[in-house]
Amino acid sequence: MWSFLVSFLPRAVMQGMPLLYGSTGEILTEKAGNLNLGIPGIMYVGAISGVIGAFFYEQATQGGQMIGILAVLIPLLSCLLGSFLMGLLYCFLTVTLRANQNVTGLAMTTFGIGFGNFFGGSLIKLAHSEVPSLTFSNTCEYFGTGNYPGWLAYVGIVIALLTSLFLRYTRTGLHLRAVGENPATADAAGINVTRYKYAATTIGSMIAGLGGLYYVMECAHGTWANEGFGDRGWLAIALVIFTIWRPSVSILASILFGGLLILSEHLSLQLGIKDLYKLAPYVVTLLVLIIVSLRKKREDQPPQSLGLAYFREER
Amino acid sequence: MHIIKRVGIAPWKAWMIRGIAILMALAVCAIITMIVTKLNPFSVFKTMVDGTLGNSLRTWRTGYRVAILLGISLAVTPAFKMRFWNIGAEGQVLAGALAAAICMFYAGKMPFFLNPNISLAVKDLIVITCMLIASICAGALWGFLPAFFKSRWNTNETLFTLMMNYVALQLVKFIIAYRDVKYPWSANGTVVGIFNSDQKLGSYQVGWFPEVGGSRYLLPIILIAVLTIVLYLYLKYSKHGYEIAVVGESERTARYAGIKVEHVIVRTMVLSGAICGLIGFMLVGTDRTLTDTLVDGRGYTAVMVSWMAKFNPIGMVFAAFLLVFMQLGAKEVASLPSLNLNHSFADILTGIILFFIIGCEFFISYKLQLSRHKKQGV
Repeated sequence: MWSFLVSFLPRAVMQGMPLLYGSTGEILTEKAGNLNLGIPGIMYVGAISGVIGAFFYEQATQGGQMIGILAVLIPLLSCLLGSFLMGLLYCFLTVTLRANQNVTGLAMTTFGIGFGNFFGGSLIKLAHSEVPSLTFSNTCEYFGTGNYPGWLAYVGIVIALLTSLFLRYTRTGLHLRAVGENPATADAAGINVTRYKYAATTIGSMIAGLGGLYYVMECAHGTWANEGFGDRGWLAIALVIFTIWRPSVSILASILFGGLLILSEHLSLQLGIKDLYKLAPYVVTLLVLIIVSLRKKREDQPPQSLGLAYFREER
Repeated sequence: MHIIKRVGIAPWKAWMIRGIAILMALAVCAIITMIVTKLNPFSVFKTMVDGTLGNSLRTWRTGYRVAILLGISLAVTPAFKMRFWNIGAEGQVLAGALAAAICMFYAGKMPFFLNPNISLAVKDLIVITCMLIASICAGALWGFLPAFFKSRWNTNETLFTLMMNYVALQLVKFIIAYRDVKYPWSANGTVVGIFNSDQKLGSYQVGWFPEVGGSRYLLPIILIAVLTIVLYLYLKYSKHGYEIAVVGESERTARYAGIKVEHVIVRTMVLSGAICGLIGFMLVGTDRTLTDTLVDGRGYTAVMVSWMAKFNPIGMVFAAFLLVFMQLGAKEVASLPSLNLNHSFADILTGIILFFIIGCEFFISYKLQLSRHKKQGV
């Protein structure tokens, strides 16, 4: 039992962290009233942007000595830039142009996953790799050992805690929640709705994008393979509902989800039964969604204006 | 600069704005394609046309794909008109497909259907009817659940339907990999072959859609064409369609007018899910197999098609064609031997077109006024 936990727990944490990043970013976004269904796409873009950065830095050093700080900063910054641009695009369409959030989000997911796989495929070709994947063993060393969660996992936990504190205890956090609940009231109180929505969504996208980078550098041991990230983006959105919009709860819940993702690999099961285990996170999320709406507790509800565009003159 | 909401816009003007947006999107796509492929845009376009409509096989395939995408878009439309954000078409189609596949698979193992003395027509009649009923019920169930909870307890339908997609997907994966002692679904746990494809057995071709006019794709195309017209009439002229429109415009008005909103929500979503299930049935009947990529994200694309066409079934025909043309065309360009690009190139182009169309709706609903003096919008 003990040996099972020792091998299982670190892997569950590592599988959970991308989901934690994704859900923290999405919670921040949703608290501003933006239901960003583009998160799966944004996480792909974040991952591939980081990979592109790492790829060119490794090419530039030609297998020679890499400077540690650059090996970390280049992928990190390019990841942040890529996901920032995606967040900006989402905001421009939904906040400035007031487009439908569901449709915009789905289009971003289509685009983002295509973007990731296309550039991933192109890089694989550029590297003349024989297998359909890219490995960054040199860059990966600076991110973690591979068997235990590295520093980026702790950063994720700290970000989740800070987001929780920010939303609950700061004035800006209060304003942000007001924007998500009722933008018209917030506007009347002198809060700049557009600025809050932009800020929350782009920062949220950047946090989610880091989840993509984390996945490549730690879960996959520095390997990019097309479609490797899978549907973790949707799981991150499920996690938002599961934790009832609380990033601090998400820390443990993400580990639980990560555990459910790989539990079937640790048990000796029939092939088909494994897929039934993978059903668990979604079914559990559905139950939480139903129970929350049954209990009608005020503080457990989704932000009231979630998914609606705000236009001052339409009140 | 000042933004004013338009009171109304002439339809030709709205369509002109959309047309300009699509042209601009195509121009951006052409530039990107040129940069990536270093070919001139006309030869790229020729390759795309060639890849989608180049020969009769390709034309059939394109037509079939347009029909399926159109069918799913039609299915989600009644719900959208009601402002019920059903993004669960993916799961509803898969549920229908799963039910149809189970009927087809197990029918092929039963002694009655293995008996070579009974004519194929009789077997087909029984199996196809079962498939039809089962898939419609499964799709309707997938639509009913979120609607039921939405109408009773106001459970968020977007998130609910999203989760239901993955429930259906994992169920399909489970069934494919499932090792039944007597009848294993697949030899290696990942790929199910063509159902009832053993010529030596009496169950050969049981449940397969018949070939009409020399192609197995014609029947689903005809069925979906009929569905388009029926749904157009249903939404525009029936009492149900009117109720859907009222609930979509304002729930309060609907209640005040004596419409049972909960009832309309559940009824419409059951219909929506049932049509999705029907599409799943057609997919399985035409492809004669079940894979976990059977729907391949088209449930989500359909949401965008329906929305792009402003819930107008006739507009959806064009929107579906545009997206399928871009998808298949870009794939053809990507697989040119001289380029050998990744197939996801198609998704990037699709994304760009969608962004432009999504963005242009702003200019249809609102007017930008550049003058400084204050003028109130009506």
